[in-house]
Amino acid sequence: MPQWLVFLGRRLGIYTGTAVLAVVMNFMLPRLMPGDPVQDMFLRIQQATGAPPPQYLIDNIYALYGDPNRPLPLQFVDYLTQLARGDLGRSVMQYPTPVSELLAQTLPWTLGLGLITLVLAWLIGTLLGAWLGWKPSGMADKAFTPVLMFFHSIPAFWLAIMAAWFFAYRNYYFPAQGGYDAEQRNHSWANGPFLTSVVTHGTLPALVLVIVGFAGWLFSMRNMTIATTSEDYVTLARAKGLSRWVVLMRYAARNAILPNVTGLAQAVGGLLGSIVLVESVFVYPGMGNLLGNAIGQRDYPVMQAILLMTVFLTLAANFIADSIYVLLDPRTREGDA
Amino acid sequence: MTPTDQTLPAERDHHTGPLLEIRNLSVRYLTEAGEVPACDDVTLTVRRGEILGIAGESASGKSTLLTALLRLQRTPAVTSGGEVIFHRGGGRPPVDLVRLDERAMSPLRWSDLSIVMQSAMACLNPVMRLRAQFADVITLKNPTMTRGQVDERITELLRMVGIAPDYATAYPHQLSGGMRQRSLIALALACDPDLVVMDEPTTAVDVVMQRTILDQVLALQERLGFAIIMVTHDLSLLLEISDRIAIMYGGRVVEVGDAAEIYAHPRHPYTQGLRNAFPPLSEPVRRLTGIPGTPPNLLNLPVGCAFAPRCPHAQDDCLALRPELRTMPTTGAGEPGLAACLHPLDRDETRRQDEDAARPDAVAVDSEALLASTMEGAQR
Repeated sequence: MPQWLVFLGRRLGIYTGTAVLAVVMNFMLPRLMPGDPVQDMFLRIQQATGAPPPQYLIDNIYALYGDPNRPLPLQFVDYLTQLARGDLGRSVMQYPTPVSELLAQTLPWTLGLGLITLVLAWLIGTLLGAWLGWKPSGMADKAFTPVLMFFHSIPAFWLAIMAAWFFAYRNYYFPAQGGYDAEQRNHSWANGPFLTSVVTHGTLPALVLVIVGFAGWLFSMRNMTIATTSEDYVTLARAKGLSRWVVLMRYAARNAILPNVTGLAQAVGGLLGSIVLVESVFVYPGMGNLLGNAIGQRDYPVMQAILLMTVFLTLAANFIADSIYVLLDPRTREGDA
Repeated sequence: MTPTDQTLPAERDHHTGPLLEIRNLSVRYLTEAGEVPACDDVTLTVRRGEILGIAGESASGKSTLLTALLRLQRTPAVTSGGEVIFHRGGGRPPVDLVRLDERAMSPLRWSDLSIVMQSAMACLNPVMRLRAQFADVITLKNPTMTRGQVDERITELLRMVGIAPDYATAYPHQLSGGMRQRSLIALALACDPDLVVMDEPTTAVDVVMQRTILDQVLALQERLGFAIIMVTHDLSLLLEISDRIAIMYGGRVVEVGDAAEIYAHPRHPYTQGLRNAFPPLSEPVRRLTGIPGTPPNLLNLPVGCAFAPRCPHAQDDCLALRPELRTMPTTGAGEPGLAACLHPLDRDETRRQDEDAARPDAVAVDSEALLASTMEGAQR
C-alpha cells in the first residue's frame, strides 16, 4: 500500500475517534451544566399563566426534549438514534421549530458570506504576502507592513460597528442590517431584485470580514516567502536565468504557500467562530447570529447542534487539508520523509 | 594538468584568451555595525577551459566573490566597485557583468555561466521532480526543442554523471546525497556553459564520493572544455585539480599562481600555512601544522597586512603597510605568480622547511582535527 494512503488512513482514524468523542461530549456537557432549559420553560409558562404547567404539558415537553429522569445510558441511546435520523431536537427560543430547520435556514447565509470572504481574504493576503516577502524591507514592505499590522489588530466587531455607523447610518451607502430586502418575498435566486439586495446587504459584512481576515494570511505568507527566498534552490533558480515570475511562483511561493493551504482548510472549520460577532452587528440571518442569540437565551439544542456541526466541519476541513498537503508536498507521500 | 602538458585533448588547448576578467571587484555587506568589506579589490583572470581554484579559510570572502560574479547576491551584500569582464564566445563583444541589468544578464545565465552550490539537498526544489528542474531551464534556453528532445537531453545529462535516467521522475528527497550533488553538476552543464562556478561542490559528501565526483567533473571538463572556478577551503584538493590557484585572506587575494608553483613554493606565509594544514592527496605524509590565531574581523581590519597578527614571519613594517599583489620572480616554466606580501618566502627557505617536515619522524596528523583545534584554541 502506498505510504500516503497509510498516512491518510491513519489521519482518518484519528478524526473518526475525535468525532465520536465530540458526540459523547456534546451529549454529556449540557447534562453536567447547572440549569435546565426545560425548567426554564416551565418557569416561563408559570410566569406567563400564573399557574404551574399542567401535567399533560409537562409530558408533552418531556416527549419533545427528553425525560431527565430516564437513565443516562438510555438517554444516550435516544440521542444517538435521534442524531442518526438527522433530528437535532427542537429550539427552545423559537419553540417548537426543529433545530435542523433553523440550521437549514441560516447555514446558506453563513457559508455564502463566510466562504466568499475567507477565500477573498486568503487570496488577497497570500498574493500580497508573496509580493511583500519577495523584497523584504523594500519600499512596499516598509510602507505596507506597519499599516497591515494595524488592520490585523482591529477587532472584527469594532470595525463592523464603525462600518455600520459610517456607511449605513451617517451615509446611506449600504443597508445597515439584515441579509436581504424585507420587501422581497420571492426568495429565489432567479429573482433579480432579491439577488441585488442580497449583494448590497452582504457588502458591508463581507468588507469587514475581508479587512480583518486578510492580514493574517499576508503575514504568514510574507514570512514564509522571506524564508524560502533565502533557500539555495531559489538562488539556483535565479542563477538559471528563469524569469522573476517563474522563480517567485514555482520555486519560492510554491514552497512558501504550503502552510497557508493547510491554514485555509482549517479556517473553513473555524469559520463560525470568526463570523458570530460580525453577523450579530449586522443582524445577518446566518448561523453566527443564530448562535449568538442561542447563547443569550440558553437554547441548548441549538448550541449543541451548532457545536456538533462545527466539530464535524473542522474535522472534515482538516482531513481535506491533509489530503491537499499530500498532493502538494511529495515528501509526505514517502515513509522515509 | 598544467598548461604545458602536451597530452591534453584539443579542447583543453584553448587556454588562450581570457574568459572572465575580475578587476578590482569589491563587495560590501551593509550591516548595522558598519560596512563589512567581504571582498576587497579582487583582481583575477579565468582563461577559457581552465580550472581556477580559490582557497581560503571560512570568512575569507570566497563564496561572496562567487555570488557577486554571478550577480546572485542579495541584500545586504552590495557590489561596491570594480568590474567583471566576461568574454562571450561566438564573436560577441565582452560585457561587464557588474553593470549589466538583469534583463541583459539573464540570457547569459546558465547558457554561459552556471553554478554548482555546496548543499545539494538545499539546491533542489523539494516539491519539483528532477525532470522539471532540468526541463525549465533547458526549454527556456532552447525554445525550439520538443518535449522529446528535452527528455533526451536530460537522459544524456544524467548519464554523464552516472545517474540512471529513471531518476528523472524522482523527487530530490528520493535521491542519495551523492546523487543529488551529481545531478546538480549535470544540471549545471545542461546548457553547455563556458564557465561553471563551483562552491565547495564536494564538502557535503564523504571522501569516496568526493573522489568520484571530482573525477567525473574533471573528465567532463576535459571533454566539454568549460572553465571552472572551484572554491574550497581544502587546498590540497585544489592543488590536485586546478591549473591556477588564488588564495584569499580577509576578503583579498593574497597569492595567485600556477598550481604546481604554489604547491612547491608558496610565497605568502598564509599559503604555506594553509598548505601545511592539509595532507597532500597523493604524496608522502608530512608533518601537518595549523595556522595559529583566527581569521581577521572584517569590520576591524588591521592597518597593515591582514595576516600579520598570525604570521610567523611578520616584521614591523607588516603592521603598518598593506602589501599589494606584486609579481614574484620565478625560475620555473610557468608564468610568474603574484603575492601580496612585503617579505615573501624565499624559494630555498620553503624547500628547506619542507625537507625538515618530510623527515622519517614526521607524524601524520588528522588535518581536520588539527584545523578544528587550532580554530578552537584561537577563539578562546
